[in-house]
Amino acid sequence: MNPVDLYMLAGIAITLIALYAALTRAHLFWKVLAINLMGTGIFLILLAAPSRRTPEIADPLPQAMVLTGIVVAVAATALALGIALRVIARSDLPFLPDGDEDDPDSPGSTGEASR
Amino acid sequence: MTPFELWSTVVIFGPLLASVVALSARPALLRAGLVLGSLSALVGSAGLWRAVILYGPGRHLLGGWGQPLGIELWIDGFGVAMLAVTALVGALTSLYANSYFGDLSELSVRESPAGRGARFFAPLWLLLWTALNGIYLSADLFNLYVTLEILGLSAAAIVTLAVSRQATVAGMRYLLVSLIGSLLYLLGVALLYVQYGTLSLEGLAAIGPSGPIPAIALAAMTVGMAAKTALFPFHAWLPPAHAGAPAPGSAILSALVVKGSFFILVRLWFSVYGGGSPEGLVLLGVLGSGAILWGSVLALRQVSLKRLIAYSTVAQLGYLFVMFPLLIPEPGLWNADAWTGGLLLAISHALAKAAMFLAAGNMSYAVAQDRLTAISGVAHRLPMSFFAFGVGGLSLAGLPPSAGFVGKWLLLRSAFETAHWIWIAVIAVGGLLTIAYVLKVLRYALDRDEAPEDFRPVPRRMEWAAALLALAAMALGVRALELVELLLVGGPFPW
Amino acid sequence: MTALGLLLDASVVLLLVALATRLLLTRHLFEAIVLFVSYGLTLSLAWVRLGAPNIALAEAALGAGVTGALFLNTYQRLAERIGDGAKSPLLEDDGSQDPPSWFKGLLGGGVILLGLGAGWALIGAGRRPAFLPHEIAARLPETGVQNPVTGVLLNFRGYDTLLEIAVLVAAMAGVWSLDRGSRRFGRARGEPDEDPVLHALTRFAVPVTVVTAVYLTWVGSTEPGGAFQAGSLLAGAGVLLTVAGILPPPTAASRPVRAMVAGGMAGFVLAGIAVLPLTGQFLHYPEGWAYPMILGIEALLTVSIAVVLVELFVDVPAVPEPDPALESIDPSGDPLGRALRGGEDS
Repeated sequence: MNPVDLYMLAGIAITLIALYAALTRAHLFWKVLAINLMGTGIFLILLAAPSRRTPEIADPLPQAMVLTGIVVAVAATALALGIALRVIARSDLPFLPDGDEDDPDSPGSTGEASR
Repeated sequence: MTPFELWSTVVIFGPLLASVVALSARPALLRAGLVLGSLSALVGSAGLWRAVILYGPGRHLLGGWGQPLGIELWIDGFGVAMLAVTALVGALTSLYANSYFGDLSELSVRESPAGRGARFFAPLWLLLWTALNGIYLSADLFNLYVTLEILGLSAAAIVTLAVSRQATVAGMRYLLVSLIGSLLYLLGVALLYVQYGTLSLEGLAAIGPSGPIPAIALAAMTVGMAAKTALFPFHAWLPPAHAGAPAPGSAILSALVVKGSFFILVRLWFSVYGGGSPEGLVLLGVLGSGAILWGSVLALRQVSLKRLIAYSTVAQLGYLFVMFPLLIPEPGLWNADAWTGGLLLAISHALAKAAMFLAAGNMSYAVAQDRLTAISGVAHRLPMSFFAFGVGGLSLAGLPPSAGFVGKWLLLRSAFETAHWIWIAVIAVGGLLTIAYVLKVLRYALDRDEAPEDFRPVPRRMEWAAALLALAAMALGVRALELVELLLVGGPFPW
Repeated sequence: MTALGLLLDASVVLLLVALATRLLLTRHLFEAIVLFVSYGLTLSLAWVRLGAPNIALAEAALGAGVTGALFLNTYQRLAERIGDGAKSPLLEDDGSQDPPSWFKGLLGGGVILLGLGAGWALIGAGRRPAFLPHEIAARLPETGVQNPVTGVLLNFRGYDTLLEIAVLVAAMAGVWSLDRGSRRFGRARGEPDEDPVLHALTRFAVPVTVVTAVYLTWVGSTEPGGAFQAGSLLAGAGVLLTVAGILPPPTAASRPVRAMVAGGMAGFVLAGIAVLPLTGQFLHYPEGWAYPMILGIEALLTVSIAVVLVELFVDVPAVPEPDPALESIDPSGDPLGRALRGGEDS
């Protein structure tokens, strides 16, 4: 097996594990961590697969894309953590309140404080 | 320099430079930024409209390279129509926002969180505008990803400008959905690049993606974009976010932002994948039907004004997906009625929904809350906003001569031609439900004979902005032919 | 590829997956953050192995460095709020709020299927011969720079890089718009410096960092490096100076800070527009001008990026106590009406 394949498979695994965690961990910080990891998994796929195809020449385009992606991830993380801190300031809990948003009788939809 | 190169530069980088001006956050410059952004968007999209009609689709090779080395802008009827409606809604909403947030710089609330946030509405909104215009002209997979991220971050930040706990929670949820959606899109981009070694939409369309990797890529991108468009059943984040944002923000989010990811879905499924798979198109149509019915029923049940309008957005977005299965009745053919009908609905929804949210913003501005029971009698004090809400709602329901009517009629005609009775039934039932929930609001607003006592006067400009948008939604139906002509430039398969 | 190389690659990959899994499963926030930083550093190693030193630099500086610092900073805020030694769901997630197990099972099954499908497809799929790397190599001399990644970032796909700066500015504006408490990181200027170690470190590290950053910007046209790596290094120096109280913490209220944040983006756009009458296309550099223009843009971007990163790090919104006056603002959508009326009840 080509060692580059290993990185590509790791990329798939990390992307999907992180996607799972982003959807199943309720704590906001883990959601943000998971989103960061999901990005890095995609970067691994992006960088490993083309270098597998043309080993004789490095492809600078995926490298440029990954660099852009890293900066975007930092920006998104900063904003997400800022808003998460404000959620905590308002409700004292690091979770998004549960409740059926589709139900007009639920507290969330009428504007009454639910806590 | 061709007109395409000139006007596409104006329409994208005008709002971007305006955001720099607005970032200085002095009240006079906030206004200057909004004016500069609105003017460049209006002038730029008008210039592109003219160019597209005269010369057909055009391009702008950024950096002078062209695909596959560089990034191209692709200017066709669909993109220009979206640019134009964004410019119109955006300019009137900017006018509205200037009054809405204007008070804050003068009053004692300036140092309150709401006041602080208000200073950043203009730069955030101008960046968002740049991103939308960028999406409508982009012909590059990765470039679309970067614009999507500008869109997502600025949109979530605009929701949290309303400082309440509900808005903060809604903004957080919106940001998370948006980030995960963008990453699913990026996963698709990575897979397509791995397979084909190009990022150009045109290059991919020429290759004709098929096989397992492109299929997984399309699935990932579709789920990501559907989540950002709030397609049923991914809609749960939308009502709290759109209802929780400050009124001009609600209008922008509901009328414009969701159309950005919808645009990308149309480009991917038709322009790049040449229709994808028929089963996939039907599935999208079924989800759209689900959205129409579920969203309308829930809109009817809401007790707060902005929530009702937000659920109506969930429902109206469903129509745009009913277009998908109708567009390709059989392989190799496409139905022009479905194309123009579906997109006219997208455009008229933008105008009508912005009018309704701004009108609702006026009503709750006046009585300081937005429960339906609280706005009773408000029609007597705010006849113009009442009118704007009603006209916008009727356009949404598809009453003639509105653009909504023309769009629905074209969509229905395409369904009749191909004998798709089930879609016809859905469109018809959805229209009735729309009338029902619009009337519900109007009934509350007219409820009492006397006006509410505890009433804060609404600036004239805010009333005018809502009314003009509603009139535009109606008038567009009269001039629909020109829009149809524009939408057919390039069509769904421009390459 | 030698056996030793294969062994190294295999261990890096295993370590990456293990760290990722562990940090997503753990219930302790501090542990997760530390694991995240280790993950980022391991990832830098992976980028080196994949022949991407540009990215290894950026990953270490931004991915592990700045992002890790953002998380630690936020953690610090929460820990202060709770007080020493107290247990709180803020820092120890017991999972009680997680979705029900049927949802987890369904999602997990779907994710595993998708992973197997994607892995199988990616390993097995036939590939078209790549044309783009050769094309980029052939036309690189026209870009005015020798580092192909810089060529892509600032010439071939300069528009993407411009929009990427817009993403940073959007995040910055968003963070500025959030309310924050009075407590700020760092001390006011002129306050006596109590920490001799910090002071000595600053004296030593800042000049070295600034010189390295200038070098990285300049060298980016030929070697690994460039505005983003240099900007994050410079940001490190800025954070040290702020923490040591030598520089005042930057704020949204300070006009020079706002000018520097928006300046990189504005300069980039204006450069793109300035060439429009000459060449007809946005960002199409006239012949002979590509190198000086790219260098100028990179220098502007370095400063902008550094200021944004310092600002994002230092200006983490504090966690204010819940404010009853705020909660009474009409939560159902129109905060203004209520705010302007002095927050009376409905």
